[in-house]
Amino acid sequence: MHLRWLSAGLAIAAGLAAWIGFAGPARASIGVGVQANPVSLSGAAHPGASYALPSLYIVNTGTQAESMSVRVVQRTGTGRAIPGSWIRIGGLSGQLPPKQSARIALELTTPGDAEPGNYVSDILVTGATAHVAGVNFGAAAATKLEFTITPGPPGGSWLSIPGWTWWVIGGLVILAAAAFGWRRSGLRIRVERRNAA
Amino acid sequence: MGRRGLIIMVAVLVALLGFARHSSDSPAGTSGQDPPAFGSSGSVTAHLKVVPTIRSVTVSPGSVNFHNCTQGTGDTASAGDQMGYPNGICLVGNTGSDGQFPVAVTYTGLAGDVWVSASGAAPDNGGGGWSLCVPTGKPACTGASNQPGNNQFTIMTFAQDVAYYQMLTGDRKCDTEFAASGVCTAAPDEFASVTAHEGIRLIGPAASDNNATAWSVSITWVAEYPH
Repeated sequence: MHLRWLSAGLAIAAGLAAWIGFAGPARASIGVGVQANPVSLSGAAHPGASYALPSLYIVNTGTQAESMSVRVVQRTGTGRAIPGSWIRIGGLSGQLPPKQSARIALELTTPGDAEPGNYVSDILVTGATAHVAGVNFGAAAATKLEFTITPGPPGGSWLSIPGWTWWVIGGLVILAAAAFGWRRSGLRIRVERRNAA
Repeated sequence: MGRRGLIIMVAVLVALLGFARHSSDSPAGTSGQDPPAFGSSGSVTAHLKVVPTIRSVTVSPGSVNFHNCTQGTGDTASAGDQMGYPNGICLVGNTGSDGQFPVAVTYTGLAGDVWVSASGAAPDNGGGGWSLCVPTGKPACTGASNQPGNNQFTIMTFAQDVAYYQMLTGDRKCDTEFAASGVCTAAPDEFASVTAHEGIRLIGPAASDNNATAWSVSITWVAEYPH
């Protein structure tokens, strides 16, 4: 009698294990989410400058770790297309675990000859897993990226000043301080030329 | 201690008492920790739902295999889950009265559009692949009766409430299988989620230059803001 119950219990346990073993991977899903709000630059940009855009929120809505790729894609509609080379996209270190989110840093660098106007494109986030034979599914999500370029030199942002300018300014300040201190000290250097005769 | 010291000590004590009294008051004048004067205490947990701030698409399962392959002729006729030549047809799911739609595409978040695209077929031996074609469109299928020609194939989705196949290409298209009305707008009720159950149909090439026996294709769904 006990043996029959034991056999039935083992059979149920084996069935559950098999169900979990087969059903788990078969129902694995792949999913990607992205923030609904567009990524917008507060204020206008100018040609020949760099700006930090708001970071992009992404989430893995699937049940397995995914490699996330982020890129700028053109879309039809109003506004100028944003060249992909203008946007520097921060990377993710490794795969994004399931149900986990991350923020991707974005930076806009406009060339000196950028045309003024409204610029609109999409930021597309694509999730990928290891490919197998058969049909592999992918998931992606997109949100809008937009900003405006107005003519004129870049201003208002300390970050837009080239780095060498700071070295020149610093050197001039040090020279001025040295000259001021020398005059206040009262020290004088007198150069004389004496004839040998 | 003089009179002045006594005044200072009294002032400090008054300040401490005032501070202690104010710090024990709750901001709104009530507190769950303060017992009422009479009777027993209780608490209520209030649940709050907020609107989502993302758009997402989730596809389950992550990969599938074709089966129910038909067509082809002679020694290269289809058999079971092996596609034959020329122009073998394989399915994921079934159409008809006993329809099965094993691919669940779930859109979650604010209302938006769902787009879908496919890739070319890649062999497991790393050689040349098959390219996507469209019977009546571009890139055109070059076989007989607008069937896929050599090294070409077509792939399409079908759904329970939609009467036609949606032909997929490398360029993303509005997933008309997602809504019975023929549009791809996903508008989840109460900002929750909406799921489309779909199947897949593939028509293979007339002939293949690559003799690989295992191939893979990719189908990608994209969630995007409404256009």
